[in-house]
Amino acid sequence: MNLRLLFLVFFGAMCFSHTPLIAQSATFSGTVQTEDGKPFPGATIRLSGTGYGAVSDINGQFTVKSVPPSVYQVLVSSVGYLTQKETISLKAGEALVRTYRLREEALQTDEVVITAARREQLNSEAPVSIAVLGAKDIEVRNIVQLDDALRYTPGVQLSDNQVNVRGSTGFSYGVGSRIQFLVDGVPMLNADTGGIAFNLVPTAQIKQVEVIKGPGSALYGGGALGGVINVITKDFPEKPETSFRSYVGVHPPVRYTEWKQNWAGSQRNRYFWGANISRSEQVTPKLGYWMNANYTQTEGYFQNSDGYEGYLAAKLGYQFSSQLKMETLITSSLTHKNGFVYWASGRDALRVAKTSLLNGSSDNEVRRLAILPVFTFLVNPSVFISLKNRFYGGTTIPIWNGALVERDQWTTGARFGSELQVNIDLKAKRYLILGAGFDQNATNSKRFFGGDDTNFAQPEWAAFGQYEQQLFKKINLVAGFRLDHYEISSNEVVQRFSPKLNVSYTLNPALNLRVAWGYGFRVPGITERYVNNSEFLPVIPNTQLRPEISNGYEAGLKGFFVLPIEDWAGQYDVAAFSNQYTDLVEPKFQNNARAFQFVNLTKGQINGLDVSVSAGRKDGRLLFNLAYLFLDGKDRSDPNNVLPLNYRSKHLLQASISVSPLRRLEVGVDFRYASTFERVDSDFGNFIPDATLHLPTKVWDTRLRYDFGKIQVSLLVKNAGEYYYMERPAILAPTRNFILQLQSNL
Amino acid sequence: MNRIHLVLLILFAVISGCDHGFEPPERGKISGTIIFKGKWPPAEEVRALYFGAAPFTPCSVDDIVARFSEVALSNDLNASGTGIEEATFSISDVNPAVYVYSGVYLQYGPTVLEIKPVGVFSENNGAFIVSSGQTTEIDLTVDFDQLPPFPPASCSP
Repeated sequence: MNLRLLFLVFFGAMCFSHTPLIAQSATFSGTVQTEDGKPFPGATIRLSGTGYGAVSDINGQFTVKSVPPSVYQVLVSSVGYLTQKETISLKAGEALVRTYRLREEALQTDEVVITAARREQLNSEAPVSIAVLGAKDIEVRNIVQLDDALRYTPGVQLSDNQVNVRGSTGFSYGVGSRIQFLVDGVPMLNADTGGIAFNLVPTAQIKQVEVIKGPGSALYGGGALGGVINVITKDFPEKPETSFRSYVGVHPPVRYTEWKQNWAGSQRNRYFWGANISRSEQVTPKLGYWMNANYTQTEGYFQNSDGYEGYLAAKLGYQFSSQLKMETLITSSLTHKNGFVYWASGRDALRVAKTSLLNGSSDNEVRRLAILPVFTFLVNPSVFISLKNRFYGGTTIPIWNGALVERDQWTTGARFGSELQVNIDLKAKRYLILGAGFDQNATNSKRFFGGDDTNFAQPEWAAFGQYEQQLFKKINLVAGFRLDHYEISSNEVVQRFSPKLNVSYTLNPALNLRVAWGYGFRVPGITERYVNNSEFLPVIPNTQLRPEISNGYEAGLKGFFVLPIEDWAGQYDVAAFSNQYTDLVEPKFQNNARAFQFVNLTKGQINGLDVSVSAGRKDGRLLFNLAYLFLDGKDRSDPNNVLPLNYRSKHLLQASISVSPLRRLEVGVDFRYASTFERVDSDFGNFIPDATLHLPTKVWDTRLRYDFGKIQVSLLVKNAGEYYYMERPAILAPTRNFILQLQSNL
Repeated sequence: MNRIHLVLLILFAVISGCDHGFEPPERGKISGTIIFKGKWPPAEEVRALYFGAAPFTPCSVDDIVARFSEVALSNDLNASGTGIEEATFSISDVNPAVYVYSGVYLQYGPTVLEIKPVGVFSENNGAFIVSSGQTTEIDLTVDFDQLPPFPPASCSP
C-alpha cells in the first residue's frame, strides 16, 4: 500500500510539475571533433547528474533539447580519448553551441563512471577501487558471454562462473554470488540460486562494465559482500547503426591419450559457432531504441557439454518531456545445454561422472526474462529522481533422456521490485542521495525443495542515503548507509545496517589518494536454505542459515604519468586492502544425516595489494596493461588452527599488449597467471575422484585483427599455449581453441 | 616497429615453449586386509578368491563379465591354500573413480562365469573413492556362514 502511494505521489508530481519548465527550456548543441578538426561520431555528451545527454552523429554533431535553465557540468567522453569537462550556464530560451575536441589517449584515461557513488563522476575522482572494461575490450576478444570478459579485468578471477573480486568468493558449490550484479543499475541476481545469469546480458550492447572492488552493501544492499559489477548498456546513436558479428571456432583434440580413450568424441575437432546482430537508432528526438539478437551453438570440448543458447534484447527510450524520461530494457534468453558438473576422474577428465551413486551432469533448458523500466525525472536542475523497476523471472527445466520433463519438475523463480532514488545537488560540491526500495523474491520447485511446501519467498525492504562534500577544494568526503530488512519466513526477519565512509585527497591533478571503509553482506539464497534433493549428491535444508558479513578497509592512490619516451603516457592504481568475512556459507557433509548441508562455516580475513598499470603511445598504436593482485587469505574459523583460506590463489597476474604495426592491423596478446590455490579442502573430495587437484593457471590468448573498412576480420587463439588447468574442482577449463570472427558495422 | 616484431617473436617463443599444465595423473591403489570367519567351503569349490571393486552395482554375473575391464581385481587371495584366517591384498594401477560395489569373489568353477561374492564392503553404503596417486585402504570380513545376497537388494525392481 505504501508503495502504491509512493507511485501516485511520484507520478502526480511529474504530471503537475513538468509543464512550466518546458516553456523556459534551453537547447544545448554543438560539434565534437578529433584533435585535427575532423568530425567525431559516437562521443557521449552528458550534463552530469541530470540524465540529459546525446551521442554525436556521423558529422560529430549533437543536440540536447528542452534543457531546464541552470548551470551544468558537461562531460564529453569516448573510450580511448581524454574526457572533456566544462561548466556551462544555460538561460531560458537560449540555444548554446559549443565545439569540443577530443584528444586521443593511449589509455582509457578517466572514464565517466556511475557505480561508485550512484552518480556520474570521473574515475579519477571515485573514492573507491573501480575497474572499467570498455566495449572495445569485449569486441576484440570475441567475448560471447560477460563472464569471459571479467577474466580480463584487473583484480578479478573466475572459478567457473563464480566471480572473485579480490578473493572474496573462493569457490563454493551451490552458493549464491558474493558479488552484487547490476544491469544499468538494477540488481539482477537470480531469484532461486542467487547466482548470475551472464547469458542474459546483451554483450554487443555493453557500453562499459564497472567493477567496484570491496564490500558495497552501503549502496547496493545484499549480495555486495565482496564487490559490485555494473553492466552499463549503450545509448542510442544519432544515426542508425547496424552491426553484425559471426564466428566459428574449434577445439582440436587434446594431447593426452588417457583423456581420449573413453570418449570417442574427443578424437576429433569440436566446433562452436555463433552470430550476433544489432540495430540501434535515435528515431526522433524523443524516441530511441536498440535491438540485439544472439545465437550460439557448441559441440562442447568434453562429453555432455553440447547445446545451444540465444538471447533477444531490446532497449527502448522515450523522452516524455524535458523532465521525464523512460528507458526500458527487455531481455530474454534460452539455454538448452547438457551440463558437465564434474569429471569421472583426473585420468578421465573429458568424461562426465556417471555411476549408480554419482551423477556429474545436469542437463537443463533454462528460460529467463527480464523487464527493467527505468524512469528519470528532473524536478529542477538540482534535484534528479530515478525510479528503477524490475521484473526478472526464470524457469529451469530438466532434460531427462533427451526430453524436457513434466511441468511439476520445473523450478521457477521470480523477483520484482522498485527502487526510488533522489539525487540532490546541494551546490558547492555537496551531493545528497536518498533512496528506498522493495524487492519480492519467490521460488517454486518441487524438484529441489521436495516435500509438500514447494513455494518459498524472501521479500526485502531497504532505505539508503549518501552525503558527499568537498572540503578545502582537495578533500572529498563520502558517507553513506543502507538499512536492509529481509523476511526470511513468516516468523523470522533479518536486518542489516551497512555503513560506509570514503575520503579522497587530490594532491594534484595527476594524483589522487583515498581511504575507504565499508560493510557488505549476503543473505543466503532460497536454494541454499531450503534445498532438499539427492539428484547429484544428497543435500538437506538448513533454515537456520545466517547472512554472510564482510567489513573492508582500503587505502589507495591512482594517478597519471608521462613516460620519458616521446608520446608515451600511462596511469596506475595501487591499493592495499584488508577484508574480514564472517559466517561464509559452505556445503558441509553431515555424517549423522549422511548428506550435504549448507552451513555458516568460515571466518576469513584477506589482506592484499592490488596494482594495475597501463601505459602506451598516445596514438594508440601500442598499449600495455599490467595488473597484479596479492592475496593473503587466512581461515580463522578455528583461532587455534589458522589455515590458508580455501580456493584462493595467492598471486594473480594479468597482462596484455596491443600493437598496431600497420594502420589497419592490430595484434594483441593477453596473459593470465594465478598461483595454485593455497588450500583445497572440500568434503566433495571424498565423493568425487581428484576433486582436490589444482595447479597454477598460465593462459595466453592471442588475436590478430584486420580492418577492411566495413568488415573487420579477426583470428583469435585462446589458450594458445595449450595449457590444461582447472578453474574450479573436477572440471577442465577451456582447452586451446581457434576462432575466426567477422564483424561488420553498417 | 622492428622492436615490436622482436617482442612478438619472443612472446610467441615463450608461448610455444611453455609447459602444458595438468596431465593425466598417476592411477591410484587399493590395499587392505580380509578377515575370514565361518566354515570354509570344500577345497575343490575354492578355485580362487579375489578382491574386486566395481564402479557399478552388478545385478548378475553377466554384468560383471560385460564390464570386466572396469573392475579392479586383486591377485588370488587363496594362493596359500584354504582355511586361512586373514589375507592382505594390494591392487595398483587402479582407475580413479568412485567404487560402489566391492567385495571378495569366490570362483567355484573353471570359468569366469562361475563366481559369487562371499563378502561385501558395506561401510558408507559400500562406496569408496580412489584418487589419483593415492592409496585407499579397505578392510572387510568374509563370513562363510553368512554370505551376502546376490544380486544385491538395490537390483530389485
